[in-house]
Amino acid sequence: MLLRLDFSGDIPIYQQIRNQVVTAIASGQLKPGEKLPTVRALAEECGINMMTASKAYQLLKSEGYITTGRRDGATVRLPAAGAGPETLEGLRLRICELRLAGMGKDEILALCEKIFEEEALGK
Amino acid sequence: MTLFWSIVAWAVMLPVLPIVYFMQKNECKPKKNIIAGVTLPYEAQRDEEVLALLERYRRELKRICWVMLAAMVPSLFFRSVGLFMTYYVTWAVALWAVFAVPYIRCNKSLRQLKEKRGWRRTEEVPQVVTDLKAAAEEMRWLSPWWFLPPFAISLVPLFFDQTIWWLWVLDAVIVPASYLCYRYLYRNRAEVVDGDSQRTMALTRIRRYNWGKFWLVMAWASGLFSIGMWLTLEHVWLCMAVTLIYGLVVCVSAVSIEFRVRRLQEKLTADSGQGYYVDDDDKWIWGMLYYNPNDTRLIVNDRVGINTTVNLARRSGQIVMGLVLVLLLACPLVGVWMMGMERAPVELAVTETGLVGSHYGKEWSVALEDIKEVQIVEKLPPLTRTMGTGMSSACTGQFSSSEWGRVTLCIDPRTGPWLLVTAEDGTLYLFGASEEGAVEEIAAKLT
Repeated sequence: MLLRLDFSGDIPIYQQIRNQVVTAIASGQLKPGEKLPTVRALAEECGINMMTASKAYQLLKSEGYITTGRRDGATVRLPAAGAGPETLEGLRLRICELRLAGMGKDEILALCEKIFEEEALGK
Repeated sequence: MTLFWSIVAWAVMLPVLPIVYFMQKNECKPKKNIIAGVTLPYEAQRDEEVLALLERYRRELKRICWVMLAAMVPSLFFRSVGLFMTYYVTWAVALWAVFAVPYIRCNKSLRQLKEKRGWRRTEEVPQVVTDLKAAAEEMRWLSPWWFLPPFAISLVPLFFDQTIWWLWVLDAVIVPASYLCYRYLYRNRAEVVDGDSQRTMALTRIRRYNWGKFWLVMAWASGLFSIGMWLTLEHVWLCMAVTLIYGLVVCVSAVSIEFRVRRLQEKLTADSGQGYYVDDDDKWIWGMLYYNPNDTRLIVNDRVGINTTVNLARRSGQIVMGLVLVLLLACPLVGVWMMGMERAPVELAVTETGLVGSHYGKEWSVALEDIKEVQIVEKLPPLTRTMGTGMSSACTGQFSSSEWGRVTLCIDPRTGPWLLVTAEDGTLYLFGASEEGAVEEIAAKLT
């Protein structure tokens, strides 16, 4: 799985790492049980600070996408079924934004379906 | 410096030219989708305009090669070592600069062509690409135990010969230095070329393995060189042969490893660049200098081969590169300094406290009360330099010979006789002077 970090964008690097790992797990590019690099290796690879890499892993761990061991580094896992309160809140916010952008219910659902299909195909 | 020695020096130093030429020429072959420092997609690597630019680059390289070879010819007729060194070092420094010019020209032309033909869509290029699967594969560093035997070997002479302990220590230091270079001059980063993790992992392993191999060869060669020096120190030709073999082993292994890695990179990425491929061109000035303010690391791996370089966006990187540049430009000064040494006379004087030989601001002395015996030498035996200066006009420092063993010299070999002084502790000194008759005068005073 390729991690692509954009240093000129507004999204913090740790957030970009978190988002891309989540997307990769959802699309099957990263499978449960698969090893991720250690915090040090990830920082070395991306040329980022160890704190940034550690923050991304802490976030992924707290959301249940990875487990971390002292020696083994990080391992991918599937989170518990169902969306957590933060995910639901995020979804609600995005729907509000789309409604304010002038989209109707059918359009939003069609868009969701399209994105879902794309993700399922691993695009 | 006789014509024979000029030819020997030429033979030793000239290989730099073909090495640089073939390395630069090798940049025309696509490796990791990179040609002359420019990342190109698969179809562009075979484009006629690209091939024409590369052909022009090759022609320019060939021309430069002949010009630089012709420029080396006058040095065959220099009789002064200092002049030869000044000329040679200036030539060697100029060689890198001159060969860089067509490379930069080719790099710029390829970049322009790339933009013109739309081979790069900047908005789609992310700033840093990492292969998580390849990054998860831990690097197995060579154990320091591999470097311990050559270190122990290099220290062996120290147990048998403490008179020139600094020479053995100097030799031995190369071994731990090799380990430190191996461990800390390498950027542990996966060689991402495209989305193929298996390819990335193979390329990464090749670089890691060969990086370790080079430093291990360096460590073992240095350890064995130390032993070789110790065994042949009193035999001029053997000692020179050992030094030459050591230099050859290190150079040949460095060059062959570099080319081997390049060949493997070329082979492994021959079909890459057809779909998604990594393009890091925006981080490389002229395709050769790394500048990435978003990278917190100082040391980065070169794009092809096994070498490493520094990140010029970091202050420490600028300082390192600046120091390297200053050192390179200052190299010809060594030759100028040698010319001064050649011209400076060797002097000998008796002061109130002792016998003092001097040359080019440096002195070697024996206290008068320490002098046990003084002997006039009419003919010099074969002498091997251990540490010091060995020129046709002056030999100073530590030498050894089968007749006398270790001896400290401060002589002008052209003007005899010379004064062999034995100190109370058995140390031998051989003094001389450039001025005719000076030695006889001093000898009369001492006796």
